[in-house]
Amino acid sequence: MRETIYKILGFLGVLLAWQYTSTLYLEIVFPSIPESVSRLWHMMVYEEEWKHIGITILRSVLGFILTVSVGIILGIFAGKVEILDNILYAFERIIISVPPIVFIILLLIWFGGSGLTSPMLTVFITQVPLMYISAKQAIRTLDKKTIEMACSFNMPYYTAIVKIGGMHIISFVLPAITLSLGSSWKIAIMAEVLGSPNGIGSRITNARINLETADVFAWVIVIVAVYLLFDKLLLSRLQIYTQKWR
Amino acid sequence: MKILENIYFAYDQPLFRDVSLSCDWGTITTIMGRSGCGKSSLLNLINGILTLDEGVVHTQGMVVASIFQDNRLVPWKTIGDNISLGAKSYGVSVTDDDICNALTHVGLSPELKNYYPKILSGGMSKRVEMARALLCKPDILLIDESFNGLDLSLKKDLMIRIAQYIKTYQKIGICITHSPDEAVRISDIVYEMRGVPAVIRPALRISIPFENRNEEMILQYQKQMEQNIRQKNAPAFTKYGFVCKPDHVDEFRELMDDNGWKVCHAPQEQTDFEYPVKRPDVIILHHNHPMFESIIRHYHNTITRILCISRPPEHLLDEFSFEKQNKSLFALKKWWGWDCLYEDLLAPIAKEKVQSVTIGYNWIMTVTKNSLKSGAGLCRSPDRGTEGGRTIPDAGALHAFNLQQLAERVYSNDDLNRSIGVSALNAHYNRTLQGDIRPESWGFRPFRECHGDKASIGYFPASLNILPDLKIIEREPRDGQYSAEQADELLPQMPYVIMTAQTLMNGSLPRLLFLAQNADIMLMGPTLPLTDIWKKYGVRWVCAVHVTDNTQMYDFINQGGQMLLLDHQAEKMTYEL
Repeated sequence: MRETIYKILGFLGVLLAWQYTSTLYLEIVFPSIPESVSRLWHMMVYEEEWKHIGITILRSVLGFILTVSVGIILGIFAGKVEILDNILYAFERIIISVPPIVFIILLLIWFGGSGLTSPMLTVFITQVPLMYISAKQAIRTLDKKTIEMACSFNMPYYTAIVKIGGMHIISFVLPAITLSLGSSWKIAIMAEVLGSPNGIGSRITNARINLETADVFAWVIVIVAVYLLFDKLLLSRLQIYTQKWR
Repeated sequence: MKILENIYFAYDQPLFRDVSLSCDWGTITTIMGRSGCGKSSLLNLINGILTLDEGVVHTQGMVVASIFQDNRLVPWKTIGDNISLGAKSYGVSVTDDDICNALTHVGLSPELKNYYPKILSGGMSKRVEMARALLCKPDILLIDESFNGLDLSLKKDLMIRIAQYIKTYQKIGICITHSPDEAVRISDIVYEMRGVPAVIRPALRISIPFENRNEEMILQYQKQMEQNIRQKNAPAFTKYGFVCKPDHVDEFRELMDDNGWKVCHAPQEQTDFEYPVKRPDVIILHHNHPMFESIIRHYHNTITRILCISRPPEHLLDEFSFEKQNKSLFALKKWWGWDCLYEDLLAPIAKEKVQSVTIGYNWIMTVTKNSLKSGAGLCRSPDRGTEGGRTIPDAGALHAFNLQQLAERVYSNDDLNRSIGVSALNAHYNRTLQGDIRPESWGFRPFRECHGDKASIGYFPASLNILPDLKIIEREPRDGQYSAEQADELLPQMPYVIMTAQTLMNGSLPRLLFLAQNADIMLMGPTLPLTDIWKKYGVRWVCAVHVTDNTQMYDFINQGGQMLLLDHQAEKMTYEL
């Protein structure tokens, strides 16, 4: 209970700072809370802008799912099969060192900005090394003895890894999932800013062109709200699930 | 039924070579051995955790369940899920009632099934693991030192539950342990496992049902088992008697006299035999001697050996385990194996060039000239002022001899030459580990863990604290020590004996090894060859030194150094053979 109160107080502090700062500058430079909220209301109700939220969510969530599934499966195999690990080493290093913006540009050139592909693949490419590396570590730190125990009861090896080691792998990659979910959301929007005709990012680009700062702030409110929703629906539950036996 | 058949398995060196294991239904088989001898690997081969290199494991279609040494519950599964895990993997459906019954059977509350294993104590975890194994209704139940660290009452309780299961359902139980007490409590047969590659030999069969065994019987079984194990590990050449041609006798007798063995000759014509006051090492006896049978019966089960001139009646040969050959002097010497010790040690030594022989005030070192790995061997210098402390004619030009020639000086009558011989032997053996031996730890530790009387030939200052009850045998005994004469009577009764490296140098070692043929022997000292040839002579541990830095050792010896600085020039290790 007390934790919730402190969290709310923190939020109120941010709002207060926002409102106070807005009084120091012109509306066009730093809009106030009422102005931003009213723009948000107007956009959602009269301009049917909510469609763009759906598009961005779809792109980032698809990218995220692809990242988690491919990253974990590849990580598990690379953790077990050294040759695969060595082969994937080059890809891993290249993707980690190249800035996401390069992938965004390349994918825009190859696939264009209007469909789901470019932002989704950007999310996938930039996030997959994180998931891959942590899954690889997870499999390497797996308690061999419990797996051996399961195998001694006639359980096939890879079944034992999933059934007995599954929880360890999830607990181990959970921080990576948390990071990756936040980044997926941000990177999808970033990709849209640069080249999509639709999605939250494209609306932010529009706002920039028309110098509608209040619109940008309104979109920030949406972005934060959607992230909090993700967090509540997915991450918190996963956290509780992986912690209850401790 | 056969569980393992002619299996081969190796890590970096062969652990099992042509090993088989059979167990009967409704019995518990225990395999006992020291830690690290490969017992757990054997179980892991049966339950499929490890894969064989060659051979067959006959467990197809059978349910095999294991109870492990350490806690192997899955922490993120509830206790109920943990218990049902084994049975479910075998495709058996498990109801809630089954889990509750399994928990009750091992003496735990059924309510525990919904909790996670974090709330369990060590003993409770063990019970849960047992419930998991028993719920599978295994045909073969493997128990891997599972009772370690549990208090005695809990240990007994779990053992009895396991034994009841095996007996009631006529299944097979295979237990491994290093504790003789655990081994004899519920087992029907105990095997002893030792060595690399491992040898598995029966040590004790118990016909009395486990529920009728009381503490006194268990103690008795332990003693009997330890005695059996000792006898089985006696040197390879312990046949009671040997049949020889009459014309070999004189030569053999001469050889033995030269080496200080006590020989008693009973001529054929002498009708009356007077038993000598001191027990002889060998009795030379004609098969027609009127008291032949009573004499061999008199000395049977002692370490005295019979040399029989011409072949005695067949029934006696069988009863008293005679070497029946009537062949050459060589075969006779082989039977009397202890005299072959130096020959055995010298056999593998090549005519390798020698770089230097350093004769210091306290130590002698021989270094070989070998581009790959030069050997450096040590020996103590003989005491100054004694007969053997004089110099030898070829001193100063010893590096002109090859290693074989130097090593053959162990046969010399001169102390200095013998010391040079031993250092040359060590130079050959102590450059790399020879044969299938591996370091155990160092010092007296493995010896201390053995229960039973212990004697030492020579005095080790370091042993005082570690082995306070050690019976010390010295040439010039002080208070509480034993004399060399007393050793003749004492050594054959000792289960454990330590001998100094000095005995190899002064030539008394073969006879001492003979006297201690009933014992597990540890050889200790910086001047011993590290080789598994010792195994043949009943030696179980060799505690020896490996020179690591020839140059530093050379400086040290040249300057009259006495106490080896083991960290710098050499390392000291105990090897179990």
